[in-house]
Amino acid sequence: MKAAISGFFKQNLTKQTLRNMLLVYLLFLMLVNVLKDSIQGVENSLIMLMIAIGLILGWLLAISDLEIWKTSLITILSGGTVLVIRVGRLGDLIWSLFAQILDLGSQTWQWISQQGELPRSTAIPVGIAELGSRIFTLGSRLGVWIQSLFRGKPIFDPVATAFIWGIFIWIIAVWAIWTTIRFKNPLPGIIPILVLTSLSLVYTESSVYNLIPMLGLMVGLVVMGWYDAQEDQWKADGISFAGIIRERMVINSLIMALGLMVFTAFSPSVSIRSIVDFINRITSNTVNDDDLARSLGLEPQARRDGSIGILDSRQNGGLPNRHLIGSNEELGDQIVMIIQVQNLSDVNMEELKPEEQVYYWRGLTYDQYIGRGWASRDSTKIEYQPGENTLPGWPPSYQVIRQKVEFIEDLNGLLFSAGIPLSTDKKFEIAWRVQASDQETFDIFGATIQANSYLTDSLHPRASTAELQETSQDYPVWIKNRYLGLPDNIPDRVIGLARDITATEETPYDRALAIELFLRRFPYTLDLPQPPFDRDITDYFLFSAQRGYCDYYATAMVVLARAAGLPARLVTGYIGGYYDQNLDAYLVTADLAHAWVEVYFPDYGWIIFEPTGGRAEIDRPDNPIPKFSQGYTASFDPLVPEKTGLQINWALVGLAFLLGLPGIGIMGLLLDEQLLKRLPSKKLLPRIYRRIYRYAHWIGHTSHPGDTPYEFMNSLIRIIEQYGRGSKEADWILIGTDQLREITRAYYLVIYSSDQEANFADLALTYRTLRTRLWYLWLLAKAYPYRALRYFLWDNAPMIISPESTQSS
Amino acid sequence: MNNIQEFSEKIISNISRVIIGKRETIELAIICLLCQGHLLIEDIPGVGKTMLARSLARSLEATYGRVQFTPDMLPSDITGVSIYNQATRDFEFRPGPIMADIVLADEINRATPKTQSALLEAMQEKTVTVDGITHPLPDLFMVIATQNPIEHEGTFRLPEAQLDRFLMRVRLGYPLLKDELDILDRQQFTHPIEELKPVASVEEVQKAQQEIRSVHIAPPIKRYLVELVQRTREHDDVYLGASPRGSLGLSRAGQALAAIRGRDYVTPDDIKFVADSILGHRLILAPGARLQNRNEDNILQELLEKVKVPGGDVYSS
Repeated sequence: MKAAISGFFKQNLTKQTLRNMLLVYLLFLMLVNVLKDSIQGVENSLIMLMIAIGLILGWLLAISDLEIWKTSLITILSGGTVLVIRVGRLGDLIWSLFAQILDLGSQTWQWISQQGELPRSTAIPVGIAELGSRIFTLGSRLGVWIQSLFRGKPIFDPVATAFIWGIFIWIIAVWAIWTTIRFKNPLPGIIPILVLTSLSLVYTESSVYNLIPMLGLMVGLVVMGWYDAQEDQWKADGISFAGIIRERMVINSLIMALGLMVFTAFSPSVSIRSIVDFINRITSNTVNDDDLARSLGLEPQARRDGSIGILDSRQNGGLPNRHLIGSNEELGDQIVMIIQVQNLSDVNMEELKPEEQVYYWRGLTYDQYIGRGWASRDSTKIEYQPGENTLPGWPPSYQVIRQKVEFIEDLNGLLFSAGIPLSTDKKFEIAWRVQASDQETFDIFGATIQANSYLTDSLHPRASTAELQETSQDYPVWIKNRYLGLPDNIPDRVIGLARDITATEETPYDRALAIELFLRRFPYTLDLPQPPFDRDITDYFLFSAQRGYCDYYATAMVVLARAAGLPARLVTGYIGGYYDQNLDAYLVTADLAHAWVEVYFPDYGWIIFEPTGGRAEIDRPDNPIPKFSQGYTASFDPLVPEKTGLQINWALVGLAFLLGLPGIGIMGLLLDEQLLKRLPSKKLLPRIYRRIYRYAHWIGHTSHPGDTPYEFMNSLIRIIEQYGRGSKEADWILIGTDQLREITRAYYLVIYSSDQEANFADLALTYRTLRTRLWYLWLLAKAYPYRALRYFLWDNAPMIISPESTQSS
Repeated sequence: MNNIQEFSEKIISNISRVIIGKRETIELAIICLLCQGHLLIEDIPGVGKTMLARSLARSLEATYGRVQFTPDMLPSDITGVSIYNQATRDFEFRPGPIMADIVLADEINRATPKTQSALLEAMQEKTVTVDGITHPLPDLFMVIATQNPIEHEGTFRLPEAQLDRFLMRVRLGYPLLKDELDILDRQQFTHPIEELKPVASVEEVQKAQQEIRSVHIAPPIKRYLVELVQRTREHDDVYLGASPRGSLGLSRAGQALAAIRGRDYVTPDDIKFVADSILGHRLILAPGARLQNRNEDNILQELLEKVKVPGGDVYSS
């Protein structure tokens, strides 16, 4: 027996086979290295597992002499099985089932031999049913995913991604080793690896240098493969050959491979974009490439918008290293705001008692996870007048509620409300990340208001469990672009964990609930050391600390949800409040500062989830909620007239200012002229000389401090002629040169000559005529760069005016 | 000042018949004459240095002496010697070529510094002392020296003290293409200098020399030129800047130029025009400056661009 096994291995596991397997495995390692940057939702460990088992299977199949169709069938079936067990986390279940069956077997054996009690096991049918239902869920998820592909609206589902990539890699691995052994030619075997690598490099636009070691390995593999085939041929033909040939072969192929690698590394690379375009041309896909790619878990990295806006200091979050609202150490029970709530919608529904109702007072939402915290992408600020509606329409699932908010503490001017602020009685400003005119496309970063108290009507999304369970995964593009992205350096185990938690959950809502439930088990604590600087905080929270406060819970939930293909974001604000019956208001204290999660569901919008352990679960009605009417007009009546009066005043002031401005300017000029006229030439000339000097500078004249007035005059005249000649007002402008000469001559006489009495009567007038021309020249100089304006101002635009040519010599 | 303008224009046009296309250099030479200064013409051989000096001398009704400097020359070859006269039984002074209104010291840097220094007293004091007896020189006395650029072989650099006594150093430079063609035409049969006639008397020159002193030089201009001179002393690339004699020369030359141009006041443009000729030879560059491609010309050019030209603001203060 032992001899047979060792013989089997000796015969089939030759040195060549081992070497080829090793080289192929190395090739795969590089492929994985490339893929790990580009695939979201599939962790390396899964791929490595598939490769390792696939290689062994390929080897077994290659030496088994099976026919090709059987080989293919076995490959696909076994790959599917391995994947189902791994992705669906069925290992434990199968193992316990197996143990129970063994147990049952032994009991049966006992029963047969000792006539004991008839063995009975209820656990086995239950286990089998459980197994069946889990496999069924996996299958149906795959089904939904495939359907979505055919409908042309691909969705991102990590389970499907793991399946597709897993089976793909599996087939490639089996194929690679199978062809290498069967055909004694590794080239066809490794082509799929290379193609896959290049394609994913092309798509993600990563460095092509990953390909270079692959190229070297491939050359070595091919050459050695061919040589092995040749050697076999020689042996078969009975040709005797020296062992040194093999040695030379190895060395030469190594040198060749190295040379090729060096050459490739230094030769200019082909433009990746052109390859993509070429591939796009020949495939001419009807499905949106990005969607398809995203559905396969491929992230277009180069197009990812990594820019963080600077519109607001809050846009660059640092949570949870730095708390977004206040600091937990100072969180006390002092009241920060008092909020009264009134339901404005006309639908009667069974409401909770006010003291049982928990509102989430939303402050800011964050869309970008940066590994160490949260940030918001660029937003556009829009100012709204009192009573102005911020949204033209919204889905019927939104309930309009009115809040009267009174600040006790200064909360940095942030506007807090349950849901999206629709209208307020004071002027306020909303920072929108996205806002379109249709009903469902709006994405708010936050709102600010400069007031101590305000009334606001806000849109509060309401949905029942049943409704949420029936939502589709047809997310709008802007949702997919913003709320599914994760940084590249998210550890694999986080991704794997997300899939493990959600793999056997049927609907997106169930998946979100599963993640929420998973996180709620972690103990809550405020006493937590700073996470290590180089750690991803989600990874730190999930695998190291395993305790924390709301920021950690919420962050982890958003990351897990996104990894599981659910669009999610982090929200900060305040939760609930202590209901005061006398005031009929919620007293919100500082320690109620909170961070939570919102997950997007088509038709229902952002639904709140509460992953923080210790907080009450969100109470969602089981039965569908009646739709709310959408008729809404803001009316904060008593305040409106006061506001409009103020507005008219401002308009009047503005108008007066606008009309008055030219008047003030003209007055100033007249006054200036009178003043200049009265000055003696000796005082006047230096003054106007300085002004001309300044105007010249504006026009673009450059001069040395050492230029004499004559030199200055000459270079300025050159500029005047350059711009003026050919312009529509050429004659008028060129008169300015005479005036400039006159002023300069006067300047010399008055400043430098011995004639103490030299005086020029009309200098102020001369200066005025020169000045208007200089102003016009300034206009010409500013207009010159614009081709369209040139057409209006010049008949023949001057060719080149370079600073060099205007410099005085 | 119109008479000075006429007077100088007369001389300039006369000289221009010999020296073609170098009006500015001729003007500078006239300025030097009007300032009672001595002129150093520095240039490569063959561009008309000697010709300029000779035509200036011939344009005036003045005595003219010429010394061709050679390395074996002695001071007495210039100043003259006392010779024992057998007839009178006494030493008799034989004046050297220096006893003339205009003295052309041709190729001055071919002589040894000792001989060059023989000119020192003459140029400053307008006297010559031989064997303890001081002989006065003519009133107009003006030295026009020519020299090859000091880089040339077989030359001795003029001592600083000697250089400082020259009011101006001018250069001629190569003529333009059309001017050079003109020169060929004019010299086809005879040299034009042979036909040059005197156009001004010594008295006229002396009168003009007195008159230019009354040209107005406004306080801002004075300040400007002094600042210019002082800045040469502070410049990093200059080992020794211009002396106060430089400021004096600059102001006098400015006056002369203004008069030549028919003005009775000096402008900053006048100062800029003469600055290079007056100051250029007075600068001694710092060791190593030449290695960085600096020379007197571009240092002065830099200063002229940097030093602010004062206007009314200085005047009123």
